Amino acid sequence: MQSQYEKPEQIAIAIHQGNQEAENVLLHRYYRTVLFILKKRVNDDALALDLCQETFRIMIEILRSRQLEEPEKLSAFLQKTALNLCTAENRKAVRQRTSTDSEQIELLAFPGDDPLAQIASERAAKAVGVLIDELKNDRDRKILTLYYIEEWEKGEICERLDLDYRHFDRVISRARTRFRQLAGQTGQEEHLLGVVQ
Amino acid sequence: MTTSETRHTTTVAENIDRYLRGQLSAEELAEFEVSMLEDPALFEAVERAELMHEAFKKHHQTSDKMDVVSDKQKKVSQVSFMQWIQQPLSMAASVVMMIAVGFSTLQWIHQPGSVTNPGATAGQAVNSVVTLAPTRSAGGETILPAGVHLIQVDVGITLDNPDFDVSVISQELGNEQYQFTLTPDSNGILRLLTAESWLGRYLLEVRQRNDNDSSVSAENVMTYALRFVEGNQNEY
Repeated sequence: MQSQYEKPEQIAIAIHQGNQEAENVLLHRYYRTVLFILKKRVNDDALALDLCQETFRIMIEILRSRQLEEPEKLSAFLQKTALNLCTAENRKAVRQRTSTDSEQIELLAFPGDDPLAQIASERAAKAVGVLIDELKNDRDRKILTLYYIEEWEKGEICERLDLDYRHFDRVISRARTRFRQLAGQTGQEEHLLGVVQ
Repeated sequence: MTTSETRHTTTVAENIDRYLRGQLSAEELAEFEVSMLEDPALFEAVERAELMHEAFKKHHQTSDKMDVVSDKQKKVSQVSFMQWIQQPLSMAASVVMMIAVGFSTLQWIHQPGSVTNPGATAGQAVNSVVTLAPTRSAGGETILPAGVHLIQVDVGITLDNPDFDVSVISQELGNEQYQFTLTPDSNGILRLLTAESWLGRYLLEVRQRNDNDSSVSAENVMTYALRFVEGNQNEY
């Protein structure tokens, strides 16, 4: 979204000044990322969604009510707010299921089963199959398997396979590039577009 | 891309992978999360990397399933007969199969309309199929080349489905005679195979058997004159 609020501090100040558009920019710019972070933190999509909505409810209330001391650190403030909610949840503190007063937040909610995400996932799995088939030697296949499936560290893999770090980096880098080509940007963009809309 | 840029890219990618694997310390994690919020390009790279990680695992699981299926197929094909027969269920199955085959064979032997071979010519090619119509007298000779022929005698369809005594008498050798009992098939056809060794004139008699009455009326006897000659039938 193109807007006059390019920098975090501009968003924070504008919200404090009662600008509705700035609140929309805040949501569009940070919502998906905060939700992603929360999903990783709590490992529960439904709970992450609740926490995400709560995070933005709190953020907007705070920004409306007072000026941040360091508005340029809006991202850190968001992250800290989300993390505090996670901590509270983990401690089994009383967390009430809240309803937000922002319709925009509701509109941004992820659907339960995202068909676009499913398509992207299937396309990605096929891409990996092609990527592996294209590799010319077993050692490179072994590198990818150990790294992505077994989740070994780079150092462990290089030691086990008697590899130069540079060769490892080349293999992984090529795999990432090829995956990006095979999985296609289109599917990813469709997915992202579906989420934002 | 310069060496420095390449190194930076690799480091970022490694950090992304470490983040996705949950290998960052609490401090590194918080720092990385703030970086994602500040840099949309980084966040997109993280999403892409996560998709790649998941795709590898999904592909790996699929491959594993295919390997399991493949292994199962290999095991089936590799079991030898001796290994197979030593299994209790296999032995039971074999016994059941043998009994079934035995019954089938007996049924086939006693099957109405089955082919009778008086000359033990099994395994030899049948030269022709000859169908004989119902008749009360031998009439003219049916000339056949020496060899195995399938003789079909049309005795007609009856309600009581009686058996028939069939005799084959050599008119030249006199004492050479074959006798057997046959049951016609559902179309009223009796079948027998002739022997390859038969040469000359033969009289084929077909008598309807009546278990309640030992007498045989002339109406129930059908006689056919057969002549087996050496050479091609077309010559006759």
